[in-house]
Amino acid sequence: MTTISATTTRPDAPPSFRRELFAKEDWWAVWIGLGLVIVAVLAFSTGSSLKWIAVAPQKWSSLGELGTQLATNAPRYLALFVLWLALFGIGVRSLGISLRQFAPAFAFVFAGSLLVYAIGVWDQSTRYNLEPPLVALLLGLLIANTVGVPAWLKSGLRVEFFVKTGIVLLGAGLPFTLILWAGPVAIVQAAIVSLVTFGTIYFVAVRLGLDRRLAATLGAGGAVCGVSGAIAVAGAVGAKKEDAPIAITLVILWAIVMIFVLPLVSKALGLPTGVAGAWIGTSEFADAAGFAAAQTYGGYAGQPGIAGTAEASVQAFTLMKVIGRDVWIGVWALVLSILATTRWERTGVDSRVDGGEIWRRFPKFVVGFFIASAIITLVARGYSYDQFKKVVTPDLVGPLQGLRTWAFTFCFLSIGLATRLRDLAAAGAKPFYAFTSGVVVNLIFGFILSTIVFADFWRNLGQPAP
Amino acid sequence: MIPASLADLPFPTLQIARRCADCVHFDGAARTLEAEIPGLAVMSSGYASVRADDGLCRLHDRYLSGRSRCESFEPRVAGHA
Repeated sequence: MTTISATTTRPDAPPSFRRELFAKEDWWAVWIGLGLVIVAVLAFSTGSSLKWIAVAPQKWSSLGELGTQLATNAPRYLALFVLWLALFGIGVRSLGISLRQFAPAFAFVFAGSLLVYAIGVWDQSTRYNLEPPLVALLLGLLIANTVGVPAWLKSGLRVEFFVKTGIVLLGAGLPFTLILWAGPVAIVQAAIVSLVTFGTIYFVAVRLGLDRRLAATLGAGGAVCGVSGAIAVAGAVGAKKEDAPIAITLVILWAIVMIFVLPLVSKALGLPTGVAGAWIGTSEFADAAGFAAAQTYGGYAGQPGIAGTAEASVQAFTLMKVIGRDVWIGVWALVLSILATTRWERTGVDSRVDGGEIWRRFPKFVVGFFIASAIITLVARGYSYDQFKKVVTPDLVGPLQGLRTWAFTFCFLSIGLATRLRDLAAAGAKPFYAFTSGVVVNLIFGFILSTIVFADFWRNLGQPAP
Repeated sequence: MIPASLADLPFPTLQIARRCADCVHFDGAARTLEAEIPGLAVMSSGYASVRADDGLCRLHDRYLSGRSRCESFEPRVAGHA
């Protein structure tokens, strides 16, 4: 007997919240990130630490020295691999991805990340500009676009899963008070640049004769949160099937260009790390690409002419990109879906618009980021600044930062390995011109706001007692 | 008792049953979307929250919200018993 699914479900009811908690990558990033934070806090409260498992290569000058170091710490690296495989494995399995395919692919990603990490701490790496994010990206791009990536490896390249987990862990290193202090400025700066960038791309695209839904998809990709912004708005406005791939191609190409351009230009101008991080957060297009650029610039901290700490670059980027831009994607989707429904040409499909759109599209990993920050801030409230640096940082925050660096390295390597340029959709000249006009405007506005208007604010980010 | 067709459904049920997510032309599976939208998995994901319940409509060749509706709705056949 044939059954009709529509008779047994209530389609207008929101998807079960409990089901969503285990069916979306964002929530799994929250569970994994917060799980690690809670375990770290429990260990810290009992006088222990996650230092043993949060192992990382130390500075080396010869291959023999590196080999000895790796051999000595082999059990720790093995434990770290098993930990990450178990955590990400549970997550991907719940998402419906084959664990049998993911495990060997992730082993490759882990081994590649260890190699990248080791190159980054070579005592000659600064001399050759071998910043780990750039090395990971270039290595991945080289493999993907020459010999190619075998099919078995693709299921391990979960770029977004890795970066979202890293962002939740990053919350543990960002005091909640700092978020409250800097968040409003980040929101104001990001709002200005996002509105101007979106308006530019949309206006140019429509003037070039492109469909409004494609124009909006391109605009969201350039102004809000890259590929995620493009795909969210494409769905909200009911874009043509080919619109999102066009926007995605342009976002990826420009994001990769900016991973190299923004740190290099910032370095040439001698921007303080916090200022450069804010500019990168304003003018990069995707979280994963932006973290690669921000972490690269953080690596320049301490070099002649570069003021600020390594962390300030990543912190300023995070505030600008995650709090200033990412969290507003639901609002953009809601507003644009209302316009599409009421003002734009009909498509034969009726969109149902309501305020729930804001939460449905909210990047839920941000919830984990805030909670991680709040937990560590609560734990640290009884410590003076000096005690925090001497006790809390090495035993609690440091290991979590180490795990975060691993998650980001998995992400950076995966970006390169997953980016096969010939597989991307052809964008066409008009979308390219429209998007690129937004890139230019975005760069200029982002630069002015970060280095002039709010320069003092970003320069002082992360200093004690703001 | 399971109705044999949509015509047998009470009117309110028929109304709420017309959502794209429940249509035979709609495909919102994350794996399918990652395979059919080039670059989606490079710097985003088919499993991301921002995607909500969006998917591809094979009939209109559009990427749209699963909460949308249209006149061409055809209920998805769940299986055979």
